[in-house]
Amino acid sequence: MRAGVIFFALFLAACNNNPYGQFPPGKVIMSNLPDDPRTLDPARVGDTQSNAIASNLHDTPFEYYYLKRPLEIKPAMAVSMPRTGAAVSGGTQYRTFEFSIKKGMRYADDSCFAGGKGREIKIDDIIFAVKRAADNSIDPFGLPLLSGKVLGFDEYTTRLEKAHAEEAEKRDSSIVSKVFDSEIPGVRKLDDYTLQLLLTEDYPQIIFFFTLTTGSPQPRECVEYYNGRNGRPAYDRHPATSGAFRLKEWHSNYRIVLARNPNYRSDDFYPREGTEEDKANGLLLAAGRQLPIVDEIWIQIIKAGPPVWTLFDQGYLDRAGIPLEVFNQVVLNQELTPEFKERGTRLDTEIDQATYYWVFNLTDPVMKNKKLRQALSLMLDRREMLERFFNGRGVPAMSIIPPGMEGYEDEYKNPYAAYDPDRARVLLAEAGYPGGIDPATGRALRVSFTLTNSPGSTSLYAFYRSSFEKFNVDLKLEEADWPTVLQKKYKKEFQIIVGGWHADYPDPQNFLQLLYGPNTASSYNEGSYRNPTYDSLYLQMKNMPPGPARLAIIRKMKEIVADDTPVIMQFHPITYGLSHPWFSPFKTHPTNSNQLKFRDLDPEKRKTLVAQWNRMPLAGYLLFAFLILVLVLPVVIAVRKYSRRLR
Amino acid sequence: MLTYIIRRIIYTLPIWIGVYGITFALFHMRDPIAIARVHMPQAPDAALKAWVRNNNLHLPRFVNLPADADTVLVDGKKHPELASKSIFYSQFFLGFREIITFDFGVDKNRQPISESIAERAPYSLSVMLPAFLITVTLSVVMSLFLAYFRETGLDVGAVLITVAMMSIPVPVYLLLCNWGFGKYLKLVPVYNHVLLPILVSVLAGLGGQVRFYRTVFLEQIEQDYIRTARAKGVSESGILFKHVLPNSLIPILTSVVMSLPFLITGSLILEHFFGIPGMGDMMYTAIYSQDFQVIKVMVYLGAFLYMIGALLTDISYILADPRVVLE
Repeated sequence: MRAGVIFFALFLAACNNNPYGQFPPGKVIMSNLPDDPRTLDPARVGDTQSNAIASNLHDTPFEYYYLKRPLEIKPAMAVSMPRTGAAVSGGTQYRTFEFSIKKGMRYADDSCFAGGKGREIKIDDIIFAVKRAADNSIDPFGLPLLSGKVLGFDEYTTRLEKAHAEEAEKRDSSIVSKVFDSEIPGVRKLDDYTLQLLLTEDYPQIIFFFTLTTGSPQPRECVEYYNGRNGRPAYDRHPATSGAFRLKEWHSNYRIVLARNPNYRSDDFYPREGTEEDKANGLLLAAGRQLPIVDEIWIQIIKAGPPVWTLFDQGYLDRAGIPLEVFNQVVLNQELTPEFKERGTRLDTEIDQATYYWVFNLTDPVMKNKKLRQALSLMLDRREMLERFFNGRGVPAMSIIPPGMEGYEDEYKNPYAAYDPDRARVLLAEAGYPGGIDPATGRALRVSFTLTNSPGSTSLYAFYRSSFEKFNVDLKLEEADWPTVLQKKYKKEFQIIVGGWHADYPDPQNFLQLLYGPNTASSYNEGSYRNPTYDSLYLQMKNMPPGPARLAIIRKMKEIVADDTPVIMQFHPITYGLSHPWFSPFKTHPTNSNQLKFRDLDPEKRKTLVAQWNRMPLAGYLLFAFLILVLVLPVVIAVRKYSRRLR
Repeated sequence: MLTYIIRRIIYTLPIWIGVYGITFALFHMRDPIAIARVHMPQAPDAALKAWVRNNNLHLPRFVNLPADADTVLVDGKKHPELASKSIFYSQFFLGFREIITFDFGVDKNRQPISESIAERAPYSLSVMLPAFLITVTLSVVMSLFLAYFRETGLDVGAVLITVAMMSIPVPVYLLLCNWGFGKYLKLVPVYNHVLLPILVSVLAGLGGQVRFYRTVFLEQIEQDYIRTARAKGVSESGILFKHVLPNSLIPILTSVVMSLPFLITGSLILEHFFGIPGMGDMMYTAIYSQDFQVIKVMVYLGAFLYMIGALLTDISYILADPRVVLE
C-alpha cells in the first residue's frame, strides 16, 4: 500500500503536460498551423497557409516597410527602387522595368549546391523564377501577374506546355530543360546582378511580382536536384532558401522547424522610425536590431480546433486566434475580459484585405434583371448576420475594395448594400415580382444559391433562407463540396454562388479586375458581369499611379457597381489574435508575409509563467483520492463479503 | 494446412477484385476536370487538362477500344498512340496493376502514398497497440473476476457500470479526458502525446469487452463438464483458469485476431484530436481535403486488412482448438 502511494506521488511529480517535453534552448517561437503547407516551392506558393511559412524562407527583391501604413514598398535584395524607362526591341518601343540586386548575398547551405555550401545569388536565379512562373505544369502562382505584360512571356508559356507534352510522349527529360535554357525576349540580363524587363504596356503593378514569394530567386540546380526522384524529396518539400530563416525540419502532419539562416544578408535591420502610436505600443523597442531576432520557430501542425485553444491557454503556443465557441469568454465589448487582462494577454485586431460576396450569374435569364438583383441585395441584414454568426468579426462591405487600400472610403455608402426592407419590396415589385410572386409559376420566386456544405453552418444557412423568406423569395440552398462549387462556377451553372477575394497585393486593381468584362474567360469574373463604361474605366485606372486622378476613376467604378449590383456585398473579415506577455509587441501586417523576422520573445518569462499556470490544482489531488475511494472500496468490500459466502 | 491457406487466399481474390471494382466506380466516375480542380483550384483550363493527362485520367475507363484513338478525350486532345496499346490500357486495369504491386501513386501534395503509409503506420501502432493490449488484458481479467463473483451484488453493479460505459459515445470520453486530465488536472500534454488517446481508447473499449467476455465465460461455466469438475473437487479458481478460460478461447480469438490488422489503420477521431500523425489522421485529412487518391487507397487497404484478419482468425482456431481441422 505504501509503495503504491509513493509510486503514485512519483507519477504525479513526473507528469508534465508540456507537449515539447521541455522548451528548447534559445529564443524559440511556438506557433501552429491547421495543416501542412501545400508547398514551399516559391513558384507554387499562392495559398495563405503556405505563404505564411514560405515567405520567411525566400528573400525577395522588394518588400514592404514593416511599420508604415498605408503600405509602402522598399528595396530588400535590390540595391534601390526599380528604374523605369523605355527601350526598343525589334523596331518596337517598350516600357522597361529594371533593378539590380546586391552583391555577395548567398543561399543557405544545402546539398544541392556544389560542396554543400550556399552559393552567391545572381540575377539568373530571378530570371529563372520568371521562367518558372510561365510553367503551367507546376500551377505557378505568378503567371497571371506576368501574362500579357512581359514581352514574349505568353509565347514562352506555350513553348513550355508543348515541351512538357513532348517530353511525356518521348520520355526524354531534356526537352523541357532546353526550353529553360532559352531566353524570354522581354527578360534581359544586363549584367550578373541586373535585370531588365520589357513591358508591353504601362504596368506599375509588375513590382508586386517581386515582393511576392513567387518572385524570389530560385537556383536552377536545386530545382532540378530536388525532383522527387532517386530518394530525393520534391522541391515542394525541400526548397533552397535565401530568406531570414531556413527550413531545418519538416515532419509531415507534426512539426515544421525554421531556423535562423546564417547566410542571410547582414543589412536587414528592425526599423528605427515609426509613429507615436507605434512607439506607445512598444514597437520601437527593437529598433536597429539585426534581423531575424529569434533563433528558431516551431510550427506545430494542429488540425483540430480545441487543442489549439488549450495549448495557448496553457502557454505552449505564443499566439493564437480566438475560436468561435470561447469568444465570449475572452472578448467583451471589443476588449479582453479581466481574467485575460490579468494574465497580461494582448489582443490585436486587423481588418483583412479581403472581401466576401455572393455572385449573381449574369448569363442566367432571371438574374439579368437589375432591379431584382438590387432588391435581393437589400434583403440581407449584414449587421445582424455578423453579430449572430461571426461574433461581429467583420465590417459590412460597401464596395469590393477592402479597407487599407486606395479607393476604400469609410464614409462611402452603397445604396444597395444595406438592409432596407421597404425599398426591397418596392424594387421587387418593379422587377416584376410583386409580393415576391413569380408570375410564371404563380408561386414565390425561387432563386438557387450554391454554397459549400458545412455542417457547422446550419444555423447560418437557415438565417440566409429566412432573410429572403420574409420577402416571399424562396432561396433554394444548393450545398455542394468545394470542387463541385468551383466546377459550377466555371460552367456558370448557378444563379447565386458564394465568392470572395483575398488581396494578392495591396492595389485596388487586384479587386476591380474581378468585375472586368473580358476577365469572364478567366476565373476572376465569376458572374460574367460586363459593363462597357466600367471596362473602359478599368483600363484607364489599372496602370495609373495612386493619386487623386485615379481615386476619382475608382469612385466612378464603385458607383457603377453599386447600381448594377452584380454581386451581393457581404463583409471584410476581421482577424482577432491573442498573444502572451512574453511575446514582444508586433504590428499585424495585411499581407502577412515575411513577418517572422520581426518577432521577439522572452524565453525566461515564458518558462516562469508557464510553470505557474500549469500546476495541478489541489482539487485534483482530492479528486484522485475520491476516485480511488469510489472505485476501489466497493470492490474490496464486496470481495471480502462474497468470498466468504462462496467458499 | 498450407493447402488450406493457399485455397483461402485464392478465395479472397474475387472479393479483392470486387472491392477494387466498387472503389473504382466510386472514385473514377467523377469528371476528371473536377478532380483536377481540387488539386489546382485557381489554375487555367489548359493546366487542368495537362494535369488530367499527366495523371492518366484521360484514358478510357474500362477498355481501350479502337474508336478511342480518334476521339477527343477529356483532356481536349486526340490520342492516336492509344491505337498501338492493348485493350487493357485503361484506367481500370492500370489502376489494378498499381494496387496489386502496392504502388499507390501520389497524394494531393505530390507525396508518394506508400511512403506516407510506411511513415504513419508506426504512429498509429504506438497508440493502438498499447491500448489494445491493455483493453484485452484488463477486460479478460475483469470478466474472469466477475465470473467468479457471478450473481452477487458486485456482478450486478459491474454490469450496470459496463453497460453505462458502452453507451457513452467515444467523443464524450475524448472531451472528458481532454478536459479532466489535460486542461483541469494538467497531468498530460493535450497534444502530440500518446497517453490520453490510449486512455480514451481503453475506456471506450472496456465496457463492451468486459460484457462480452463475461457472457462467454458464464456460458462455459454452465456446461456439464464444469459441473463434473466441480464434483471432482476442483477449486473455483482452478475451474476458471484450467477449464473455462481455454474453452472460451474461440470467441475471444475471433474478436481479438480479427481486430489485429486494424491496429495499423488507427483511429480517425482520436488521432485527429490528439495530434497523432498516424493513419487515422491520414484518412481524416484526406476526407477533409478531398484527396480522392488517398481515400481510395485507404478504402482498399481496409478491405485488404479485413481479409487478412479473417484468414488469421481461421488459422488461430487450429492453434487454439485441436478439434478444428482445416481442409
